[in-house]
Amino acid sequence: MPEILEFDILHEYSIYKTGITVEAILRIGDLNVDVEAKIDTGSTYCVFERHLGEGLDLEIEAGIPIEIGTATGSFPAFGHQLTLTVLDIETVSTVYFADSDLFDRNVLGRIGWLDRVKLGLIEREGKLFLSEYGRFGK
Amino acid sequence: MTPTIENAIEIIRQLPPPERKKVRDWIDEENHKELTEKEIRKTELEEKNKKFKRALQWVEAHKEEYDGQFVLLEGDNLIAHGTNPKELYETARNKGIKIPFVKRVKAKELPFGGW
Repeated sequence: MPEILEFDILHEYSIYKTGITVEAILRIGDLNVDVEAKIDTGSTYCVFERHLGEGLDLEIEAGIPIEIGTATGSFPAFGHQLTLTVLDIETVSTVYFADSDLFDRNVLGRIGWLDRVKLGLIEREGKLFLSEYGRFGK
Repeated sequence: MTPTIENAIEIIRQLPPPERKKVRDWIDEENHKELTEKEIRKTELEEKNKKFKRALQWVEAHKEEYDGQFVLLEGDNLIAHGTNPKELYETARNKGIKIPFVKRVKAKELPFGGW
């Protein structure tokens, strides 16, 4: 029996760009920063470049310290709670800013973003379907 | 006692026709307002997406020229660039840009392998 899913948002992304790219806005109080982020179902956390946290006047090292593992090693990062808006869906999440200035990725991972939304994907057509989790009963 | 929808329907049923018409008009007006708000929100979101795409297209077109630098963009307008992103955020605030887009430019981007 087929499963039927409903979504609020259809976002068309470029299949020629690296990764599935969306615009994300990070906000703390009156300060906002705009960022090009990749959706990454393999990432446990949402992780951003250090300068984005500094753009929000955060003291990066005052956040929750963690070590994030990668295929080739690990890197330190610090968690901060903020408002994350992606394609008009706003969530309050703890996201992590890399300790190193050289870290150059921005990813939306499972905890803090994927666990707040319902997501569908047709990679062949570059279509991303999205709803806030809890809409339409789920 | 908190009124229920059943109470409300019963009250409306007892109203004379001209009063019931007023209820229908009020519901239509509320529906129209809701639709208008949704349309406005949708248009705003589309405009925002277009602006963001223009910024990404600008980065793609100028990635060789600004390789290794940070750029502050408003759509496809370059506002400032340099190697210190903090200065760009400062510039954005001084110019009254509410949601600054500061991007690290890389001429060569490797395929992303996740973690």
